[in-house]
Amino acid sequence: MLEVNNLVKSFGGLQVTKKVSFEVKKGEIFGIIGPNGAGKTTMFNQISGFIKPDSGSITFKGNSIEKRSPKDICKLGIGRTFQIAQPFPKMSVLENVMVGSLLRTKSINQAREKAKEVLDFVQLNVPYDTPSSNLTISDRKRLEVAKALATEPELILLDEVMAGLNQTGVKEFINLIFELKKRGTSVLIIEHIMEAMMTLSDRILVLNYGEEVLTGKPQEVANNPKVIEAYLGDEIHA
Amino acid sequence: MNKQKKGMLIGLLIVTLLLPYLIQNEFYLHVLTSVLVYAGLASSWNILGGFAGQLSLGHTAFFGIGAYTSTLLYVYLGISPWIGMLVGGFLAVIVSFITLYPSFRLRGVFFAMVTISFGEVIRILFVYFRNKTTIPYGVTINYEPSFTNMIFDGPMGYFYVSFVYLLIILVISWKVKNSRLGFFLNALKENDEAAQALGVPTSASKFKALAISAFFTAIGGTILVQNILYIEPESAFSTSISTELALISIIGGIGTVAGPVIGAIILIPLGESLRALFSGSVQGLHLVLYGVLLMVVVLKNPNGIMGFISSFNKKRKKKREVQLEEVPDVRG
Repeated sequence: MLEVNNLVKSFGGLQVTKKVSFEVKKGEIFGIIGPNGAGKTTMFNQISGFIKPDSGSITFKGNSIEKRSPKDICKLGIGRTFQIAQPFPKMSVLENVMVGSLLRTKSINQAREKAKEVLDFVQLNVPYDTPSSNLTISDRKRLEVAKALATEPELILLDEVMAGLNQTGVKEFINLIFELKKRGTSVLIIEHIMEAMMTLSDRILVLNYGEEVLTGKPQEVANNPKVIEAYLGDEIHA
Repeated sequence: MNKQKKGMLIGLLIVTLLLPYLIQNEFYLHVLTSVLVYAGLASSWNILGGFAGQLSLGHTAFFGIGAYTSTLLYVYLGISPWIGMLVGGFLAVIVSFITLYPSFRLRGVFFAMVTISFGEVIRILFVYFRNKTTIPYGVTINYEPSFTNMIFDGPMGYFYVSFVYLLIILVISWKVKNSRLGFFLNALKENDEAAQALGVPTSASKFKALAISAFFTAIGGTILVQNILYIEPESAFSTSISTELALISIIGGIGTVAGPVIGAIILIPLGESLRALFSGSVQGLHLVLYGVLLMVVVLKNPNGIMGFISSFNKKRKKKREVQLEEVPDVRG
C-alpha cells in the first residue's frame, strides 16, 4: 500500500533520513521505533507532504506522492496526527472533527453526523460543544486521532498518540488501534512505549541516526543486539 | 437558527424598512443610509479580515476601483451604474487576484503592511495615469434622477438601495460562515498546518474569501459615489476608508456576521455628528474618537461588542441552568 524507497533528507549538514526503505501492507500495523532524534517524525513529515525529501520515492496505492502537497496526500487517503496535538483552539470538539469530515462531503449536516460517529468511536466522552482548549492531555490525543479519522483515511499515521497517558489510557488506545485494524485501516505508528509497540505492531522498523537498523517482527526486534545497542549504547563504551 | 431569533430578525427587517417613513429629517436619513452602506462595506471587509483572518488595510483600493469604474463608464460612455457596478466588482476581483493573492503566505501584521502599500500604490498609479488622460481631477456626475442612472430625487431611493446592498452581503456572510468554506477559513485561521493535514485547500479557500470581499467592497464604492455624485482620487483611494472598515468590524466583533453591522450603527452616527458639529474645521476628529473606542473595546473584550453579547448570553444561560438544577432541591 505504502512504499518508501531509498529516502534521503538532510537539514543543512545533518542527514536525518539516510536511504530508508520500507513497505506498509494493507491492513497492517507497522511500527517505527528509535531513540530521540532518530528521524521518526521527519519520516512522517515526508510521507504526509510537510517536508519534501531530497531524493528517493514514496508511493501510495501506486501514486508517487513525494512531491505532493499535504492536502492532496490527505485526499488520497493518508491521515496523520501531530506529536503535539494541534486542535483548533477556538472551535468546539465537534467543529474540530467536522473540519476533517468536510473533506469528503460538502454538506454540513452530513459532516456533523460523521464527526459525531468518529467522536463516539474514539470514545471522547465530553459534550460535543466543549471548547477544544479545555480538554485534558488524553482527550486532546483522542481528538487528534478523531480529526485524522474523519478524513476517512486508508492509512493513518499516528505520532506518539500514547505519550503522556496513564496505564488505562494506553490500554484503551491499544484497543482503539486494534479496532481500526479490524475496520481495514492500515496504521503506521511511532511510539516510545515498548509494551504497546510489541503488542500492536505486525512489523517494526528500527531507526537510529536516520538509518535503518532493521525491520522485523516484534520478537526479532526485541532480541536483536543491534537494537539494544542503539537504545543503550555499545557495551564496551558503557 | 431558532424560532425566536428568526422572529426577531424579521421584526428588525420590517422596522428598518419602515424607518424612512418614521424619520422625516433629511440629515438623519442621510446618516442612516451611511450606516447601511458602511455596515455593508465592513461586512465585505470582514469576510477576508474576519472569517479568513487576513487583516487587510488596503480595501480602499477595491472601493476606489468600484467607484471610479462605474462613474467613468456612466459619465463618458453613458453606461448605467447598475452595470458599471458589476464591471467594477469584477475588476476589483481581478486586481485582488494579481496583487493580494501572492501575499497570502504572509500573516497578521505582515499581511496588513503589504495591503497598506497595495492601497497606496493603486492610488499613486491612478493619479499618475489620470494625468495622461483628459479626465479631470474631480469628476462630477450630472444630477439626472432616474432608476437606470441610480440617481434619486430624495434620500429614500438611496436608503433602499443601501438596504438591499447590506441585506445581500449579510445573507452571503451568513452562508459563508455556515458553509464548508466557513469551516475551512476558520480552521486555516486557527492553525493552518493542522488544517492542511486534514486536506483543507489553503489558497483556494482564501482566494474565495478575497474575491467575495473585493467584489462587494467595490459595489459599495459605486453606491456611495452615486449618493455624493462627485469623485476624486484623494477621497476614493484614501487610506482612512480601509482603516474605518477595519475599525467598524473590530469594534463590532471581528469574524461574526452581526459584528460589522453593530460597529457601523455605533461608529457612523458618531463620526457624522462630529463632522456636522465641527463642520470640517477639525479634520479626522472622528478617527481619534474611533481610536479611543477601539482601545476601550479591545482592552475590555478582544472579540468586540459581539463578544460582550455572547459572554452575557452564556452567563444568563448558566444562571438558568443552575436555577433549574436547584428546583428538585427546593422540593426535596
